[in-house]
Amino acid sequence: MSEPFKKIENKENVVWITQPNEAETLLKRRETAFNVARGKLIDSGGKIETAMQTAEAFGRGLFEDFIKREIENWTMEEWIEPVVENIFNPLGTAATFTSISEKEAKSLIFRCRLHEESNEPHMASLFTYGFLRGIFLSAFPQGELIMGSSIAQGAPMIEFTFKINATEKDLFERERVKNFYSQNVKKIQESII
Amino acid sequence: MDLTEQVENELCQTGIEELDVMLGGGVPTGSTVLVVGSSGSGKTTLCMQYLINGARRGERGVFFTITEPLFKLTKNMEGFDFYDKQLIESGMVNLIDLRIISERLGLDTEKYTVEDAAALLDVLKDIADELNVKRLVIDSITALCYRLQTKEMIRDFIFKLGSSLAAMKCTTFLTSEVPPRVFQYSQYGIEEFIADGIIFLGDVERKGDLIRTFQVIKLRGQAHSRTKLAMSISSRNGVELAPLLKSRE
Amino acid sequence: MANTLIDSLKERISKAITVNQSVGIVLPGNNYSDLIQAFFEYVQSKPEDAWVYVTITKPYENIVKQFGNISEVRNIKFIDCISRAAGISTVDPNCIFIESPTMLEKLGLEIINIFKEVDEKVNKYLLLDSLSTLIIYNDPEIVTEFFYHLANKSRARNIHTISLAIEEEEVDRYLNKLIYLNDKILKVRDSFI
Repeated sequence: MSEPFKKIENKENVVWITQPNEAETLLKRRETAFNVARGKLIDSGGKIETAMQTAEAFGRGLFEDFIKREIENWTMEEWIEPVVENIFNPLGTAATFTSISEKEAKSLIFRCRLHEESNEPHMASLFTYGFLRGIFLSAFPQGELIMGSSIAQGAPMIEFTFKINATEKDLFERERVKNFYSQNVKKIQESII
Repeated sequence: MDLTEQVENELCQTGIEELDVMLGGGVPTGSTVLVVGSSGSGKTTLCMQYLINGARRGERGVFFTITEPLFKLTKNMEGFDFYDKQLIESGMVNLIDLRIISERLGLDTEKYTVEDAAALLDVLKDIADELNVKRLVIDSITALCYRLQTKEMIRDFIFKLGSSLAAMKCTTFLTSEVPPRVFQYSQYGIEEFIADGIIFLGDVERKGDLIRTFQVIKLRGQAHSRTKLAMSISSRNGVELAPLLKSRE
Repeated sequence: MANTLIDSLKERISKAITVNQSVGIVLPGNNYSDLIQAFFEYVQSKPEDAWVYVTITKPYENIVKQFGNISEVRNIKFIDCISRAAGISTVDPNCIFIESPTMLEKLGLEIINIFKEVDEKVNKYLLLDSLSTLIIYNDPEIVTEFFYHLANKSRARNIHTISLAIEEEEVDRYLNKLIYLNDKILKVRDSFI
């Protein structure tokens, strides 16, 4: 079986590049969850919280089914490897993981099937944030997922920073992301229509 | 004869642009150049490209192979755009299997006596003379030297071969096989002293990637660059050279 | 609003590359899509010019998906440095794929090889997308060395270069140094005119 990621080492950094190899079952599962989240957003009249919770639940489900191990204290590397192998790659997601340390890691997603197929960049970015947060917090309940630039905003890649121990400022991240998408809910609704 | 013609007569251009620049215009005509590298380093491709480029300039060449059967050699070369079958068919580039010649001469496949070596040398000279070749390749001199029993025989063989070919104004490339990642120029430690020039094909590792490298170690009678370059082999252009980025070293 | 930005970008690019041999464009991530769209529209408006687009940021197939008919535009060729590293095996006659974003010598060779086939009288342009992503995969010193070599070769062959640098919150000192090696710097802002 080929390696789940390509490793590039340089002086400052090790970069891991995922190796997408799409799996039909997982793609279908995500499609279903995405449609449910989208449906809930519409039904609730644009409530971002509902959509985000759906995405997070999907992420937690993926963790249960594909990542969960008998590990008491996860390390960042222990988490990244199965996530890349069992979730990123089968979902056709191409990303780099950089600045990997014991406490945090950065990921730049440069190809996301969900964005390409849905043609709904805001909804896709929101959903991606939610489900990744669900997967991450399942292993690191004290952690937080920080969202940087996103394809929805016109950036070339979606930038995430995974932090094992959230700072006080980090604890407001979920609210910040929610507010961002709440302000852009019109864009989300327009793209769905 | 004007200066350009004089230079053209004195220098044998490989036809690989960056290499000719490195060599200060080309290899001095009549020189014997050792092309050193480990398995898969690009020695055969480089030498074949040298002959094909020469044939395009009207210079007949001969490729003596010992390590690879002819059918395999041609099959591998057909993948390259520079490889022109017409030049082979027209006799501008001649491919000869030295093992068949050895068999016909009745030579032992494993060990050559002094007489055997002399007979083989005469055959090589005769072929070069008869075909009026200006470019000659032996792939590999290591395999030939393996059959020569002593260092003296090796020294004698290469020296006499080089001298005869130089007299015919034939510029010779001899491939020399060395182990990977070892900075040596031959298996027997003699070839490099007889040769007029040494080209070393190596590699460096960077972030898990193996980058081919190219360096002219020596070239008698010609001012040349000793910079180590990055080398790429593509089906489109064959051997290509580019500056090697050195900040990592 | 977006169209004004794109039109303005097109105008500024056009002026800058006509006068200067090398141009560096510094832009926030959110303006990336607009800039690339402006660039492609500009390229299509000048079919007599020859362009090479080097992408280290997004796979070629994603660029084509996003910008529709760009693969059929005759005067632009692509070099994709990221797809093969991510195990994406797209093949396209209009694009050269390089095995890894770390193979800088190979990248340099392919750029020059493409331009060798272009008539001397034709205006030649190179877009490097982007210096920021090059630094993710390579040591900054080696990127600097590569950039110097590329700049020298381009100057010798009368190839105009445009290099992109995507701004992040943390100022990358190497990126700053690199981008200022260009003759002209354009800084893109949302309120860009």
